[in-house]
Amino acid sequence: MLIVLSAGMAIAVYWARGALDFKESPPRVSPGAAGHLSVLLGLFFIQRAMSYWLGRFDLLLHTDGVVFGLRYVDRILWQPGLWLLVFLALAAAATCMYNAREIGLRIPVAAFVIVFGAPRSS
Amino acid sequence: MRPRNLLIAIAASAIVALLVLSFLDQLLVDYLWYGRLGFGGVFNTTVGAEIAIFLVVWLVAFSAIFVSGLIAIGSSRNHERLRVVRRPDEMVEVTLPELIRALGERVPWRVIVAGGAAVLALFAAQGEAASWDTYLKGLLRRAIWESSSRRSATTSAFTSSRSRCSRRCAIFS
Repeated sequence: MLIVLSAGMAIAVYWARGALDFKESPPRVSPGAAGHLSVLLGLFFIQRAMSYWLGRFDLLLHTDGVVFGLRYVDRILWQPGLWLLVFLALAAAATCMYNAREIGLRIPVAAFVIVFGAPRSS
Repeated sequence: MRPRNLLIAIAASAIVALLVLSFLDQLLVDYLWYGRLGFGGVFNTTVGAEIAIFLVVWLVAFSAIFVSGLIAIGSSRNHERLRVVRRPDEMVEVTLPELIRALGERVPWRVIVAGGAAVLALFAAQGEAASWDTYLKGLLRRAIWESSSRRSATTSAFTSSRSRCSRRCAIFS
């Protein structure tokens, strides 16, 4: 939540000062804004990786109607799936941090789609 | 003071007073309830924890959001001042950022960012203060473990009023 609020404040300031322009397609982003938002997105992905990692332990305690604890599908599917999401989120964080130098929009957008598009398609 | 300003001040004071009273009456009822049961310490600990968590989280959140805003101000400094010229013969759409840019550096950016950060930090602090029981469970885990192993008959009698005590007694029983 803290990272989202910080990003919200940064986006509002960049937009108000003309460093972000949503009228154009794709939106025009100044190099400074792209670098700053890339770092914030990288921190967000690190937080997501920690959340997925902790989610593995949550599988042991959750209940699904009849069954309490780790189910067969959790052991076979969700535990490896959460590990995969941990690695994807960490890779996305690394690419976002790298993008702070490269300064562009493609890499963060691709990282976002890979991390959050993968669980939906599964 | 002008009559209009006086009216606004009275209305604002009334709204603030109502908000504070609606918060305080629940606090007073809880204070009396726990005091009568002999669990005044429980009330003091939980309210103290809520206030401490709120203050710490607010401070951390305010610092993070304010620093982020300052970085944004510093990173978007090199913008030329925009001059908005209105021509009567054509309709030109002027956006809010363009109007703000027309004011140049006269806008008190740091003050605006500080105010926005203070308000946004309230949301984060309120959310975390609501999870005071999680923090207390973490801090007092040893005491909770020891007390849970030697629960007395007093506790089981007390659990009849647990619906009133909710999470507070669940931790300290």
